[in-house]
Amino acid sequence: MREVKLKIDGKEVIATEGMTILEAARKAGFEIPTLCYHDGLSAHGGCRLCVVEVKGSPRLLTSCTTPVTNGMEVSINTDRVKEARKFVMNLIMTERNHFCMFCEKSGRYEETDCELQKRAYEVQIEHFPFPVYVNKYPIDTTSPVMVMDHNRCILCGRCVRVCSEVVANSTLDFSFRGSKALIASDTGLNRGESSCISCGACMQVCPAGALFSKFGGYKGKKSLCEKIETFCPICGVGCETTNYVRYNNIVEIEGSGLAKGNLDGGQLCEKGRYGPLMETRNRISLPLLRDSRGRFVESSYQEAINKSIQLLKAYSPDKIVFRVSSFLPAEDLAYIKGFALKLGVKDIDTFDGEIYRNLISFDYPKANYEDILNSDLIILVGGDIVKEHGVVGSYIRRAVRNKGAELIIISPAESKMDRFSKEVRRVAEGSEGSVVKEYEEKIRKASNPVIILEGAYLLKNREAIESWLKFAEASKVKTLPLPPTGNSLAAWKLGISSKSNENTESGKLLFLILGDIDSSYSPASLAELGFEAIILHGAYIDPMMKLADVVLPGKSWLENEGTYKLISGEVKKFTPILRAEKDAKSPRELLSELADALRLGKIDIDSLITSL
Amino acid sequence: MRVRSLDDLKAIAQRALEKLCGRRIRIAVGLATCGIATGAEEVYSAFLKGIESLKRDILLTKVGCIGYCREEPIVNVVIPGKALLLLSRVRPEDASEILKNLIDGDVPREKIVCRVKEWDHLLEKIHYGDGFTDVSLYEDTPFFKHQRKIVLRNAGIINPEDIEEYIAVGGYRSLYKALTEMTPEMVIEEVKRSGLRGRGGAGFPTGLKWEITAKSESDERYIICNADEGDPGAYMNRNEMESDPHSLIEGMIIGGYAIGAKEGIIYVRAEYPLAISRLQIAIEQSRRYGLLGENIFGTDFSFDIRIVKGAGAFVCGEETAMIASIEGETGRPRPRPPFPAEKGLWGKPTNINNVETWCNIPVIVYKGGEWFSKIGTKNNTGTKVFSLVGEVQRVGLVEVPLGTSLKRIVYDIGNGCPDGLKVKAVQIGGPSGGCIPEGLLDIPVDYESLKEVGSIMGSGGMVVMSERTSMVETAAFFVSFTSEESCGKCAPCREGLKQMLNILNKILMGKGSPSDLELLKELSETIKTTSLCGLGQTAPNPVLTTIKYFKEEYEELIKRYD
Ligand SMILES: Cc1cc2nc3c(=O)[nH]c(=O)nc-3n(C[C@H](O)[C@H](O)[C@H](O)COP(=O)(O)O)c2cc1C
Ligand code: SF4
Ligand code: SF4
Ligand code: SF4
Ligand code: FES
Repeated sequence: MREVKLKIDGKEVIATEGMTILEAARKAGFEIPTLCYHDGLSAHGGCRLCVVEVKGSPRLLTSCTTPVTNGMEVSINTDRVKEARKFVMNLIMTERNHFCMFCEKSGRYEETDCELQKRAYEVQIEHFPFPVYVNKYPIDTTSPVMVMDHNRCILCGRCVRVCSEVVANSTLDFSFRGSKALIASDTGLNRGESSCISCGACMQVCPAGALFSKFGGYKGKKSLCEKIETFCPICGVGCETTNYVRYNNIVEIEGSGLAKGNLDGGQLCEKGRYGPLMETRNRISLPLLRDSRGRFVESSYQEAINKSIQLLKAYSPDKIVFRVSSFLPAEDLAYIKGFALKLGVKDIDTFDGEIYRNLISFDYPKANYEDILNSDLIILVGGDIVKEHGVVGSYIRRAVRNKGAELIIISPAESKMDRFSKEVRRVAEGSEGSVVKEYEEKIRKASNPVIILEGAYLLKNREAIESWLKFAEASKVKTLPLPPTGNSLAAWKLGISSKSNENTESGKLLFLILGDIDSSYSPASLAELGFEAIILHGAYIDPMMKLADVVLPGKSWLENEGTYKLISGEVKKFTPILRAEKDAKSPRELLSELADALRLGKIDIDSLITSL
Repeated sequence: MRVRSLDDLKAIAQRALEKLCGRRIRIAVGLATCGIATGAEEVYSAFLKGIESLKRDILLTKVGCIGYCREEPIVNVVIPGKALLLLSRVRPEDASEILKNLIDGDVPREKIVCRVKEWDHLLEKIHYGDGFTDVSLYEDTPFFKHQRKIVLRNAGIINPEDIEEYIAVGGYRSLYKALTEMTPEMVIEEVKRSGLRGRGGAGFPTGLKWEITAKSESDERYIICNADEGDPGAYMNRNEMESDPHSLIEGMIIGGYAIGAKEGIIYVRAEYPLAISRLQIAIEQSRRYGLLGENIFGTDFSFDIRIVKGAGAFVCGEETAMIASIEGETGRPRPRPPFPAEKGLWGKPTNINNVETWCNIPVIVYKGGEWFSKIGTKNNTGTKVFSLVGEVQRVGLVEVPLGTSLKRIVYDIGNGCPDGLKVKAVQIGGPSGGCIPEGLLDIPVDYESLKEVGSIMGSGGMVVMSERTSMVETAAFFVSFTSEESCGKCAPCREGLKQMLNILNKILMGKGSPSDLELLKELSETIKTTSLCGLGQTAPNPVLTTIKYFKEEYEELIKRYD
């Protein structure tokens, strides 16, 4: 990179070739107001707010698009520039409805959630010099997650760019010309009926009040919230998040680092951005016990603990079974394992342990995200990646969009991914493996083929994946089976999947640790297994509770600090976003109380965690 | 048959000359869009029927437009050995009478506009002959007298759907010369020497643009012909393509050779179906003759052309929007730099020129840059085609040397306004041009002089306005056009033009206030200095020039309210 010397407001500034005036100025500590510019997206040059004077150019130039050149002399704050900016701001403010006092995002300078309003304060707009023609533009509320109010849109195109450049879903574009221009979904559908995957990236980058969340509304300004930086552990991709929290309530979740350089472009998927805000299940808020007449009654925390101890003492270790969610922090998983070992219990498994046992018997080369991005042929087998691992879906779309990769989908169900594939092969659930033969030759011929296996239902089905993995093994095709929960990889690595092969569970005690997720049991299937007694620990009311003898409230992942092993292999520590209620414990907190009472001695998990 | 040598070309020329001025009577009907609009197709059919019933060996053919649109349908006839005659306003019912006369070696006098003894196709001259000495000569006719045809050298004379006729008048000889006698650098040097500037509006030196594109580091390069002609009332490019498509194609092949491109694209308005079909025919023919495609003239230079139909938006005439449109995106301008010459179509260096610019190339290569540079003035060499329209008596397409005064065009060629009205102003440069008052019509038509008076050359639209025209209405008309056509990408153009239009309409309704003029000027300045592309940067010109030269009209309307 060659060095470029220029002058900004008389000061010598050193930049590198290819930088824009804006980048060079910001790096040197100068501030230039911008609106359509976003540092995670390509330059657009539409709002014209960032204009500066460059010696030798009769017109003002937009600093966000003009590259620096040697010897350039830039003035960023002359009267001419300030006048022009104010004028342009006036035009933008009077174009549609920007009566700020009626807007959800509006606030005082320090508080506003609206970039447009902030810029207006900065260039000191006190009144509108032009008549305001408030045309009635549509308000689209059909998206399940956000509202699009075209009356507040400034046509900056950030949403369009993020949807095509980062999410690579290309739902949004401009339609119509001139002052009739409108942001459109699929050139004119309601958002709710369009190809939109509700990832919310557009909403996050909107600098005005045009796109806003259906869940964050009226909960308070982001500037008044506590801001917690962590990541989303839900699916194992581990996107970085900024969480805005007020009164122990999440107001909004944003992807962090929507800036150049991040492989994921700072996006989130629908589950990550809106999942916690859309949660409708009820929490287990109190311990419950079954009384002598078989009825469930609320109990004190201590009573429930005592009952659990009593049960654990009453069964011999070979009559105790642990069934655990893999979507728990590694600390919990490791503690559960240590606890079981100390008790002498051998039958311990996660709900997705079967998948682990299916996968370890094959030795195929593993694909990573770069492999997907550089692939020329992607075979996506199984469930809906948009719903399960949305951001991995964006890598596939980027490969298709930017590199012309071919996507073949083999799946029993429709998905919003289908429109990116050249071939969608509908197969009956369970027979995904039967078609391998038909694609073998094509895959072998490709230069960088990648196979992606999606969905717990698929990975559990040995028959369906066997043919794919055997083929991958034999032809050394890079393959990525996507884990069903955000910490499956840690659970498997910790070896919590040693289910005994006995076919009867009668006469046994089941310790069910659910964490956040519904177990893979149904009340009927659980009843059929015939456990004699059940201790259930979990965050949410679960249909299985009917069969339990003791129910203990657990923390949700949002409240539980801990470590996760991501699909990328990275091991990350999650910072809790919310505070838990008093009686809601993490599995390790609960078990350590039980371990004390049972005099199991110290359970050491540190070495297990570092081995991840 | 594939053309491989100069001798091949000459043989074809010899053969085709027989069609142009051979032993048969030739009747050529002007079948460009302007002729067709006035019924030229019916005239053609009438001749066809007449000839069939006469059972005589008469050659009936179609040609493009010679530019005298007011006199359409125009038919030209050649009786072997005699002068070519231009007949005007020919009706189908005239056909039999004309045919009868022709067989007798005569033509009805009242139909004749003028006679042509010899036509200079620049690369070749065709001598028709004498006769009809009582009829005025082409070069003495007021409409043609001050014109100089370089771009339109073949228009209206040869059949645009017959490559052989183009070859007969010297076609593809320039290409042969460039490919066999010149290096690409020499071609660029010749174009630079000619002083040719882009005819699409901005007047950027063509040779220099070629050189920048040719020197941009890349494995691939593209050239594009801008045929998106969107200015209301302008039809120069349409006529050039309909009348002489091979001239454009030859220019582009030479350009491809000079610049190092293998592919050329003609981006043409979908509203020009006849131009598109003639281009398609011409491209097909050139391929068949080996003049397009692999190994042209047996050299190792290969080049092909494809047509892309425009999406219908005016702004697609802007280079970067055009590139976006060709790439399959919405046609919206992109920030420059990077300039297309560095990073254009598919990110590769791309050279875009207007139809007319390309049409000049074969002549420059053949006659030399030196020859070309002597036409016009020092910094404005060559000619420019204008569509002279509006309230002017002789409506038509005129080609004059740059530097010709506006007076000469409006009065001597156009014969002023009809009905004895006085000329009030001339609007030049399309919707973003300026209105030049009658008092300034002495200025020469060149890029700099027009800019000085607040207008631009544009692509050649010239609208004459009489004393009964309201200049405020005119300004409002153009702003409503640009406001409609603004792509909406950048705020000043999108919103500023809308505000300007609202103010103008307010003034027109008699509700304006004195401060509105200041606001209009302020808006104009901001839109000009801050807009992204040429559309916004020039759209306020009609308002600024009318306020400058016709302020009293605004004040008059405003006073009415006070
Ligand atoms: C809004 C707008 C419309 C334009 N329309 C045309 C057009 O219709 N034809 C054209 O040749 N150039 C048009 N131009 C100019 C082109 O951008 C470009 O300058 C030209 O094609 C370059 O060719 P030249 O160097 O041969 O003039 C337009 C420019 C703008 C800003
Ligand atoms: S939510 Fe995501 S997919 Fe939908 S329009 Fe916005 S960026 Fe595109
Ligand atoms: S919706 Fe928001 S991000 Fe999209 S163009 Fe409008 S203001 Fe910009
Ligand atoms: S100046 Fe007008 S036409 Fe050009 S980019 Fe801006 S809005 Fe579009
Ligand atoms: S920030 Fe540069 S034009 Fe919008």
